[in-house]
Amino acid sequence: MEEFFKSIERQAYRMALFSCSNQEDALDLVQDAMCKFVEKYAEKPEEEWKALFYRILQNKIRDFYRKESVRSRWRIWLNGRAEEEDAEPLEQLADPTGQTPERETGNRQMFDHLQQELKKLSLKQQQVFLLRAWEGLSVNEAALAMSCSEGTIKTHYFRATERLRKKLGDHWL
Amino acid sequence: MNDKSDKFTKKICSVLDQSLDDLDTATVSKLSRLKYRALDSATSKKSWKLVWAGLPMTAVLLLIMLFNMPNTQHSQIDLQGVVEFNILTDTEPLDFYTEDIEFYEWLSEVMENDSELSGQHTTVPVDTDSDNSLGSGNRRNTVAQSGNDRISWSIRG
Repeated sequence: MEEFFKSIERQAYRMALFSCSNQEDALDLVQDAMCKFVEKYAEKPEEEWKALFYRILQNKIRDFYRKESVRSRWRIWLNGRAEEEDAEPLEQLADPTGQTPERETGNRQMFDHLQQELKKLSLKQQQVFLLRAWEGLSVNEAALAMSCSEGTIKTHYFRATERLRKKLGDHWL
Repeated sequence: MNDKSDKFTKKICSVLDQSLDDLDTATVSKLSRLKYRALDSATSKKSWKLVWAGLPMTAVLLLIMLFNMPNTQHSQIDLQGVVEFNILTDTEPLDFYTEDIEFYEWLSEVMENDSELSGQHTTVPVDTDSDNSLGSGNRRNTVAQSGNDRISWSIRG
């Protein structure tokens, strides 16, 4: 179990950070997911661990996203900024990269650009893309992790890839 | 088509992988800590589960003890009552149980010791309940006769 967590903890954190844009929140999400995973699925076969863990994490991220949307709407309403009501909640969150060491790395700009574009994707597209392309989950595993059909996974993945290719393609290909 | 084989996807993955290596040490240590915290929480929860699982067993054991204890006392009282009842209904006078019985016990011990010395292990039990038809005089005579026989047998032997 420890080895499994060791192998996925950084990806899980990065994935959570893409969604919630706050380091502490991302760490909390990963911890909650780990605790729940150990509690509920430790007895399951190891081959299923990855999909099950990401299923928990994705649920946590979605819950967080919903709560954050509500909070954000309240914040906007209280601040009287009605004109920003239609904006995506994630876009209104502070960009944490200004405080992370990524700025100091060689591929900082590429990562920032990618992060920016990933955040512009819908939450589902972003999650499906990261699970399929980065985590290497199969369509079946991604469907299990996302609690949806394989067809939905294929559609989200295709759209996410197309959108990223469109936005990043000129610089990345 | 394998998704990972896509050049564009590969490029994205390499940038994302690179971002993992660039995580600051504070975040990495935090991740490590929360990982162990999660594992520890599972262990403590398991131990609590064992405690909770043991509680019904303990309760059942307590119940069994509570229900059995009066029965045990009751049976002891009954046994005592039966003995007293036997004494009261016996044809022997009560003096036999208060005074003479000590004599027979002593005599039995003497005879036991005697038989051990002579290598014989036959004992003459003091039976206060059986043979109630015999009077105290008859009983004394029988036991005394038996003792005399043994002593004379020991001297001869």
